[in-house]
Amino acid sequence: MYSWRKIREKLFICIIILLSLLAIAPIIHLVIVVSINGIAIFVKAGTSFFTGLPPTPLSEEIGGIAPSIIGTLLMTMISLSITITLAVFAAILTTEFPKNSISVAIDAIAKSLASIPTIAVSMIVYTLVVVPMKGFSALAGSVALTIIALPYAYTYFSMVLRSVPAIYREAAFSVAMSRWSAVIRVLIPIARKGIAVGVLMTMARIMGETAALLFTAGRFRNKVSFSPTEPADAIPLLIFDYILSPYDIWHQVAWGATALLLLAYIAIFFAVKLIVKEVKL
Amino acid sequence: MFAVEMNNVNVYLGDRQILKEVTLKVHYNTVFVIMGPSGSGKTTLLRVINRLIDTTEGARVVGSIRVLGFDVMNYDPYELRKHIGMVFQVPNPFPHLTIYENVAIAAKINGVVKNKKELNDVVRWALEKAMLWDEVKDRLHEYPHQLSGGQRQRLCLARALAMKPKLLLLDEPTANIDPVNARKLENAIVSLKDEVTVVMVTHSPYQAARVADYVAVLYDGMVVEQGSAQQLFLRPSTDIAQKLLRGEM
Amino acid sequence: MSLTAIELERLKSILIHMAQNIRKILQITEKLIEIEDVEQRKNIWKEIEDIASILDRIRREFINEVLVFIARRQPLGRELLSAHALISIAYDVYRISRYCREIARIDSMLAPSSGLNTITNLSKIFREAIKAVEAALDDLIEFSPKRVNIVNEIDIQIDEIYKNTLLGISSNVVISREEAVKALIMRHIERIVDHAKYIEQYLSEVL
Repeated sequence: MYSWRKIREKLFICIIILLSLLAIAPIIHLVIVVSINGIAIFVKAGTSFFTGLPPTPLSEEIGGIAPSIIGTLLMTMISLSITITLAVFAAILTTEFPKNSISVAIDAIAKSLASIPTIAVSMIVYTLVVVPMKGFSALAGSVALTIIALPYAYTYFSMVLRSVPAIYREAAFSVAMSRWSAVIRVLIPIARKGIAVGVLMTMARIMGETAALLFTAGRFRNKVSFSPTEPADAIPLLIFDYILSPYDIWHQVAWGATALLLLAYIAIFFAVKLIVKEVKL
Repeated sequence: MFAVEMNNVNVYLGDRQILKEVTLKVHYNTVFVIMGPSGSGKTTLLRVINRLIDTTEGARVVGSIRVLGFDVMNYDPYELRKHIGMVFQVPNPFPHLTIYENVAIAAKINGVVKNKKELNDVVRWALEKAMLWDEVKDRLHEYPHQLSGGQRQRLCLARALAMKPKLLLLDEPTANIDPVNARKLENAIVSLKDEVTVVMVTHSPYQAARVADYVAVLYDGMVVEQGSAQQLFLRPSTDIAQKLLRGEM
Repeated sequence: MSLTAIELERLKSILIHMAQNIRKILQITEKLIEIEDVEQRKNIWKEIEDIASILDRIRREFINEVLVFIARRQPLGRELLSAHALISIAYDVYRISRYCREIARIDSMLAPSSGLNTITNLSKIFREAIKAVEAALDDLIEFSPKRVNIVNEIDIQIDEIYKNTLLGISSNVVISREEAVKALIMRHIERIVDHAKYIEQYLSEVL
């Protein structure tokens, strides 16, 4: 004989499962739709999708998105290296000297930078970099991306470093390590998984950023460019432009580009899971 | 000369005074136990000795402290700590290093060894002194999280010993471990007397009775009574000490 | 009061009760020294024997209890010294009863002929010894050596008498039976007062 309590319990579990499915349904739907459409494009275009140039609006060939891929890679690398370096140093600084006025300032700056809309950042960089340089460039794009990624990366690293229990720092001091030694040989190694995750997540953020590049990168997709001072393109920009266009061939390219981006994100996700052995406290 | 000599030491944390006119002397190669109820300032006293008090926000130290002949407040704390080992209340072996590396890093940093062979010898010696060698000799490449709490604490002791310190500070080292391991640790501590001077903090009068040569009773930041262990455990002269021995505090 | 203190008080009261038996045994022994009738003396010997055995048994049980107290409550400081004092004083109390027993034995050997009452001054001397033990027992009840001076004085007196008795013997080649018996009994009385002194000593160590 089922008691009312048992029925309530089962009902509750059903509701939870339903709501959970409802929550992940959009993502699953997204992945499925993008994969189906995108993979079809890969198949149709072959490897030239990654090496070729984008098609003209009325062409029959899919072509490729090489300039966008190179542009994204270039800007990601530049931006990521600057961001990670600055963010890690800032995080170390504020963790080691929390009451210092510089640390307080950094915290405040990070919070305020994070609240600037990305499109506004794009316009600021336009004024500060594009205009003096008299043209769009991958560099300008990287600067914009860095400004956006910095507070995010700093906050994440800061949280990671702060979550290392203080007892290990004291242990480091007790074996006569200098302050710097304690950071390099104890704090960072213990937090390494968190730091690696932070790097990858920052990279994912940078790769998918669109608004920041609107007035900075240049959308130059006629040829592959490795130069930071020349205008460049990025995959999200391409998707943005092509989806809004009336041309069907460009829509197809956009699907392919979206699928490529999604693939990259999935790869990062798995990398995060597998990379770097976790330090068990 | 004394291993540790404190004269009229006062420690303030913000507005609060944690230690009041503390005066004590620790002889070389003895086990000196600081006993007292919770909140009496025992841990603070210990942390003043190796300047770990510096890491506490708003801490101010006034008074004369000489450790191993150095004037502690006017000496480079990082240099000072090369001669002082410490074991904390909560076992804190480095989780990212193997058992071997945990002990080795202490020896390497302090330039105690010149080559790999000497390093192996020191690691073994330290683990033997901490009475842990037999339990880990086949597992030196494993990580501390695979050890029990008591084993971890002995690993911390081995790490502290690998520095070949002259002074060993122990902050309630058996507070968080089981009784069997606690006894092992106590036996290890007593056997170390020949090589180091030990200053240990405990709130258990029985533990103090088991290991101490000299005892100082700390109450509300003041040294209420000080003397040889025998004298204190048989004929304490203050009421506070007697209450502490009875476990009423 | 802590559990340890309560337990300690309980043990003290057992010891004090033991001590009351000593008062009794001393009174009976005093009577023994004074009377002449063999039948009465026989009864007293038996009584002394009984009380002494009871005290021996109580002592063993008592020491066990004190040891259990030490193991369980792990006393330190004054309480540890008190526990030690209790064990030591129990032994002293028991020894006093033993010496009374010895005195009774000597008397039984002398029977049916002249008893201890024939020995000059013995009764008076024994009364002094009883005074010393009574003082020590009173101090035991208060657990404080207030009357230590009384006991020490009597101890000096008794020691003097004992010494003189021995000198008296050693200075003659042939001695009378009275002198021999007196020497033997004096030795026991001297020991009884010694134990009273020890009780005072243990009490002063606890302070």
